[in-house]
Amino acid sequence: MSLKRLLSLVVVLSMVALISLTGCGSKPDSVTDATPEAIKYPTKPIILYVGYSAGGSSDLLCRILAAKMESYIGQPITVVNKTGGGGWVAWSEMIRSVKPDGYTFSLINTPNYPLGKYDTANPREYSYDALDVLVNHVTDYNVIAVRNDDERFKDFKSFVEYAKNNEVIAGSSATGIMSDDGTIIDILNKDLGTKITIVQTAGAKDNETLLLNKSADILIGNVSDVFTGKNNEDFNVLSVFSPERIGLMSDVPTAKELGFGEIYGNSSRGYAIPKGVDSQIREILVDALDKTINDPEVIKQLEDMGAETEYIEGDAYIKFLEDGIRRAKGVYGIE
Amino acid sequence: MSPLTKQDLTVGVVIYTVLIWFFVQTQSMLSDSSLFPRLIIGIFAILNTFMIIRAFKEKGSAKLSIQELKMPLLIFLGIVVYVIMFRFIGYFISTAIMMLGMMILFKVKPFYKIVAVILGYCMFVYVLFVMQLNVIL
Amino acid sequence: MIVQAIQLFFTPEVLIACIIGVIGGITVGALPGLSASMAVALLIPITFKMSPAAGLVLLVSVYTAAIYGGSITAVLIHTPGTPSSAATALDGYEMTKKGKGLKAIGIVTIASMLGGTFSALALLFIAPKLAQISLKFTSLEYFFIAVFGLTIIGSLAGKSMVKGLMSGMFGLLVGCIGLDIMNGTPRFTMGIINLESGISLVPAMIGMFSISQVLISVEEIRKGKTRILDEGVSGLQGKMIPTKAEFLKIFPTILRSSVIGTIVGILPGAGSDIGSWVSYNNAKQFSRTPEEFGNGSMEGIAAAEAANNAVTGGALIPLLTLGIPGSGVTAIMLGGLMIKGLVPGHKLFTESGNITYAIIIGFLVANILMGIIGLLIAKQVVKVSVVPMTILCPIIIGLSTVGAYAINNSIFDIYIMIVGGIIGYFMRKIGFATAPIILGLILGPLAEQNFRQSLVLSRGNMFGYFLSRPISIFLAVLVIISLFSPIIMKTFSKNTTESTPADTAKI
Repeated sequence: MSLKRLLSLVVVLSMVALISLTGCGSKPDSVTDATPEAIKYPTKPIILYVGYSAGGSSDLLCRILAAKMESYIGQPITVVNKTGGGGWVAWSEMIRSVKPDGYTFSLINTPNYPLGKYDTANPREYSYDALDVLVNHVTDYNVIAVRNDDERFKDFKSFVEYAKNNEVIAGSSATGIMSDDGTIIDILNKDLGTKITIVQTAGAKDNETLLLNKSADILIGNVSDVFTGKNNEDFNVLSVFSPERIGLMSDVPTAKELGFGEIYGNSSRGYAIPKGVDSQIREILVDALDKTINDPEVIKQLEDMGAETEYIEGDAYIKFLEDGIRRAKGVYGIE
Repeated sequence: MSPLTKQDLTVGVVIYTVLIWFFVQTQSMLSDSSLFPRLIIGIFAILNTFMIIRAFKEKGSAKLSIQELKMPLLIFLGIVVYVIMFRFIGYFISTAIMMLGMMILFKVKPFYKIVAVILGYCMFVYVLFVMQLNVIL
Repeated sequence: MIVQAIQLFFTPEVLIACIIGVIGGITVGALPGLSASMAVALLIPITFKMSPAAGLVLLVSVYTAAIYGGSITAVLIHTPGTPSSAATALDGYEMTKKGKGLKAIGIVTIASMLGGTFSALALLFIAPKLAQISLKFTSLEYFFIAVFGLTIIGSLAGKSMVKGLMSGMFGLLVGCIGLDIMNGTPRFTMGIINLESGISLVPAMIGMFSISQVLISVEEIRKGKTRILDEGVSGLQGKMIPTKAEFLKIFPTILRSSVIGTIVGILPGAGSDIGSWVSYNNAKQFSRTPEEFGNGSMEGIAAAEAANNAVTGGALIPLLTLGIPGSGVTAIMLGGLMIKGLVPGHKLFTESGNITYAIIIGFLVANILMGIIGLLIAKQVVKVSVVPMTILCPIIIGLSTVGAYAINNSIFDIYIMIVGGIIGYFMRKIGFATAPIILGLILGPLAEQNFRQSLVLSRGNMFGYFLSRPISIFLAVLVIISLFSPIIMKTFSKNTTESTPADTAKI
């Protein structure tokens, strides 16, 4: 075959290949606004960013949500893990480069998202209003748990007494303002005079392991962390740090009702979108989230995993976040 | 025959430079955090010194020839360009171009083989990644 | 209850789940970049619509099959499909170059199958007891295990011990990149947020193994050599199934490695990657032909593969009995379990017993099935080593790129892959082994974190704390033996290749 023929064959084949490949592999375009009255949304799959790794509780929450939300919003929701920076790789991208077209939303969780700005080791640029926060999905209150056979503490009162005079070890996966467990520990040490020493771990599961293998004395974690252990009767949950007793563990007293004051802490998860999304699109999204989050099947699935649904929307959600920020700043004396 | 050569002297110098950079970075860390890295840098530096001393005594001069490196570096450059293309034009087109270019460079004959491989590969990746695993390419 | 479980297992839905899981797992595991954890994570939503038994059988089948699958590409094209097969890539590829790829695949398949089955039996019969053992291990023990793993660096050094150790140091240093877990300070991150969690292992590995291999192959293409097989090797040699003699030689290794793998598996957080390295090192120490390691040792690949599959069953033990995952992949499965209402603990083995035992049986069957399927397709699969490198190289580049990207949908990971590739290439050119870097990267953070945790847990009295923990003492002794064994072996070896006696002493 002569060079010229070969060349033209190459050109033709390349064009054919390119055209067909463009068909299969093109990136989704952004939706341009249709006429104001009849917004056609959504017309293609929606992406949900999770700033945590696959299989973790945040990831599972999103996958459960995504599976159900498709039937309410009409398009599949694709969960994309964008891990790193304690969630901030995903949020930085949401804030800086994601288009406000309603086709990408993200999980946000406390304390990492709203308090990132106040992290002493690694302060973030943005405060919580850098994104448009939509709704809250689950609120996981902090608890204190001990081994069921531990003779030293039968209840919260006896724990506090013991810990005032003896060093007690607890695992914690982050410290200070950036950690809900860490903050509770700091509150207990500061306000109640306990001597809790923290051993740093990589995550909640490690904290649980440390308690089970007797390296740690107590576990300060969230309800979902101790759920399994409590059901297996390995753990005794001494108290929950919430305003009222919670449904999933109704036999556990709150610190407040035991007379220790308003010691509250939680880690909550919700969703947010970039600022500037069209209000109609926003409404459709929130409506679908509302229906999904309050769907009895979804609520049950989450309960089985120890996660308590608490749907909060709009201004109430903003207030919820701000309350949390104010409390945390108060503990650490930040203005 | 020792595996070290005179060329390792240059390597040693490069390593020292890198170690110095790492060490400077540790200045801005909390003391607890910098302990382990400094320990490693220290051991690394000692090992490097051993290597340089032994390389000094070596008579062999097995060097990397530029000729040898040309092709791999060219391909490496190609990979870098490929990744940049990936960002802007999408996976499938950039992969098709990359494969086309490489196989022509490697003189794969006949031409229909190249096309078959490209099409087959793209189809495989599409079915597996985009359809089954929902990866966005 | 076992009878009910067996009945449950032999329903169509569950059986199909098992078969698809094995086939899918082998495929996904083989592809570079797609790891077992990714496969399991992506399958979880699919299990929502399945019955609990079927869904979980699918997940465990994929898990063990993927860990096996990674060894296929590790052996044939020096590209570990999963991090757990990095050790296999060393010797497996050497065997392929000599045309013994078929035998290598055979050994790897059999070893994986035996290792996985061993751990499945452990899971079936003595899970609760083993779970209690796992609770005896805490930070100090993990520290010693990590250090034990690091002593392997010496034996992976290749021709120059000094350079090998330096590679290891480099790996340890790079492992420090990221936020210090103990106090959140950034270390060597240069303000790049993507580096805060450290250098991702899989893209780095893909870069250092696959991309660097491509670059090296390209040199050879230029010289006119277009096949993986070495000069003088005409084609695929040998049979797939090892001969009786060969099998007798490697069987003790497989047995030992299965035990090691199962134990590593029951330790929370220690997964197949650690298991394969510890077992490889152990096999080298016990071997009568240690010089083969790194050059195509059958014992080596058998050890690594038996162990990494044994980890899968081991990891399921604390997961099911305590709700504490034994490895990264089982951490993902925990969610899959809980969504189905299967809460780990003794209730799992009593109230939900028939489902749980069906899952365990499914896991056992999956391991055996995986071996059978592997052997059946081995002859076809091994033909990859005869495909000309001119076609393989572009494919490997394309596959590596999509694999590195797909893990986290992150272009940054591809950058890591590229950097890993060029560093790996130059290191190999100038005589630095690359395997120690991976070891340092995995084990360095483990060692450092656990040591610092131990400091807190010892409550100020480290010496007393250490002496009160028999397992730590035992492991520390192992570490010392491991550290000095290369020196002892070198001093007693008759064929020293070092020119001066001073070199032998100066490790």
